[in-house]
Amino acid sequence: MNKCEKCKVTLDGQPLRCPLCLKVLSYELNIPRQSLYPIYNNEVAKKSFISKLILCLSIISCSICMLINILIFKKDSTLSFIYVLVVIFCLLIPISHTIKSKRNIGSKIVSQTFGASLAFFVIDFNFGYERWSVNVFIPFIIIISILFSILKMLLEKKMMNEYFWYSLVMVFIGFIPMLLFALNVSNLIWPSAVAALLSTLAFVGNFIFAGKHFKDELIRRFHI
Amino acid sequence: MNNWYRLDNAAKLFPAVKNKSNTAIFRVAMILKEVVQSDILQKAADLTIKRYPMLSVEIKKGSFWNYLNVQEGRVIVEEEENYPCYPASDGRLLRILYYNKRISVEIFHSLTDGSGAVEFLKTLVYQYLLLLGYSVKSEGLILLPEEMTTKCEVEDSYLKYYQPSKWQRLKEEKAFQINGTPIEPYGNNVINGVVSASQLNAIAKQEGATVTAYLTALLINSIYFEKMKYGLEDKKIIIAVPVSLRKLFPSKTLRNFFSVVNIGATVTEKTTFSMILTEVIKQLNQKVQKESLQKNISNYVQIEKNIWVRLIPLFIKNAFLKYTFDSLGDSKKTITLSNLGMITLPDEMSQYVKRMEAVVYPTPKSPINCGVCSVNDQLTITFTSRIVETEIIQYFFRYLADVTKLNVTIYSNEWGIRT
Repeated sequence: MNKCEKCKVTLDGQPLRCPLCLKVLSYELNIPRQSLYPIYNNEVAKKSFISKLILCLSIISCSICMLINILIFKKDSTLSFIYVLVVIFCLLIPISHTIKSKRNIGSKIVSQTFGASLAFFVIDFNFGYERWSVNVFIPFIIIISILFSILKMLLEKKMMNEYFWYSLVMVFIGFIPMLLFALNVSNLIWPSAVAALLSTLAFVGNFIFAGKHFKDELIRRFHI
Repeated sequence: MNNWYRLDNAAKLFPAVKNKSNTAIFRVAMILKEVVQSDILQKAADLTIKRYPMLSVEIKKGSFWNYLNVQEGRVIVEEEENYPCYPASDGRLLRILYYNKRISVEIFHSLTDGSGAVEFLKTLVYQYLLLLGYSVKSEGLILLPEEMTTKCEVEDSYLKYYQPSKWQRLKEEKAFQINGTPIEPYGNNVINGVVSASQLNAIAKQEGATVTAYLTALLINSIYFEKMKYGLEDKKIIIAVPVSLRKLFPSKTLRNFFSVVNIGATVTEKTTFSMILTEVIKQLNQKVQKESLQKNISNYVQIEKNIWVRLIPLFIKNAFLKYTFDSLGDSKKTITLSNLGMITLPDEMSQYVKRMEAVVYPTPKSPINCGVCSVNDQLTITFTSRIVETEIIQYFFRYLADVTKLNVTIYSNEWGIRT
């Protein structure tokens, strides 16, 4: 073992520098290097760079579109850059939260539902607000999400533990279209009513098929 | 056996404050005399985890409190590839790692404390040695996988030993904080120093101190000489010393049951090492007493038991806990020194074990922390640092080598140096 005369300590593991005074050490080349710790790689840093690059490119494209939109605003008074913004937003969510993320599938369904609903609403609003988003698109996105979460819960054993919270959230989300109708935001009732009915049935189904589990999960989630 | 657990009093803090710079993941490791065989270690892990159901869990969010959900899957043994105590991006709360001759267990602090982790590691290595075909006997010092987990081992001892008393506001001044250049790339530089446990104990005894008191005093001295001597700082240097409450209360829990005592001193040019040591011994004697620690337990449990606190939604509690930790916890200490003490292994097992390491994760306001533990007369002092500057650690070990004439062996993961 080597010695650092300055620090008066013995050095194990043949370090490149003394870990205390950082003085560079030299070894005979024919001595095999002992390894007490692995040689680390920096993959994590590379991953984080790619995420930053995607975010940076998104901001640049949005800014360019916004600038062009402002410069030609006198000729064309629509805020068309919002479409680009919405599309990029809708692409970023699947990349960061759905594809790359190791989050629970329930969380992914909820975030996708919110993301897609918001995107359609913004496009509809910018197009003259003909209410196709709140009347049809949003209720149907919610219906598809509820059906998908029911399917996932039926197919996977650990359904209640994994998706309990999100299935409850989906039940509440199912009533949002009805709420929008009640507030006169939408004016077509049947898609909203279907979404509300489906979410009620999903809740009742949870209770019937996973009664004890459902109760246990409620105790866990709401213990004080 | 339960399929979920409430978090104990100490465990409630960590999910609220954990992030990339405060992982709340600590490591205990055993260095064996032979290279670790991964397939045998995996078999040993599969058997051992059954004995420790409280460690095979995942953290789930409730509406008012987080809780631990028992997982059915196995713990996968992995070769060490990242720096010690790195943040868990996949949500795993327990990692079993191996590299060369080292078996490491990295645990999220909500699951257990140092004592619980050491028990788990002892069982794991014992089982590993048995599977290798070595004839080792437990001698009543190892929790065996074939035994049933008892209720006492999974209990929340904070609640058990809580006694209602008047809530006391603990007044503590802000401590001196170590600043430095962050290591690039982000990670923990781990510097281990190995000395003879019996020789260090004898030196401490000569001064009328325990090993913990001696090292605490030396750490205060090192921080003063390397960071404060030529500055205008007059703040107290405060060392946070975690204390296992199992020595003072008859608890057998394998979950968290510790308290932290802050030992501090205001050092000036005229202060000598023996004056610091006398002050440290006095404070440790005062603070590591059953009555004093009982007050600590009562203070914290009382808040947890308050009905209005219990009814606050989790996200508000988390924000409050984070603020409290930053302003009242982390800023009231300079550094943490956690001494797991002398680990006793069965005679037949100890011949296969060279030494142990305890790695304490750093935090943003405490970028260097220190873990100590000893086995087979080898006492390992492990500094985990997130800053480039090493003067404090250098002073600390040079003092041990130069003044106390101990033979100090240093090794490091060279994070930020080799990478």
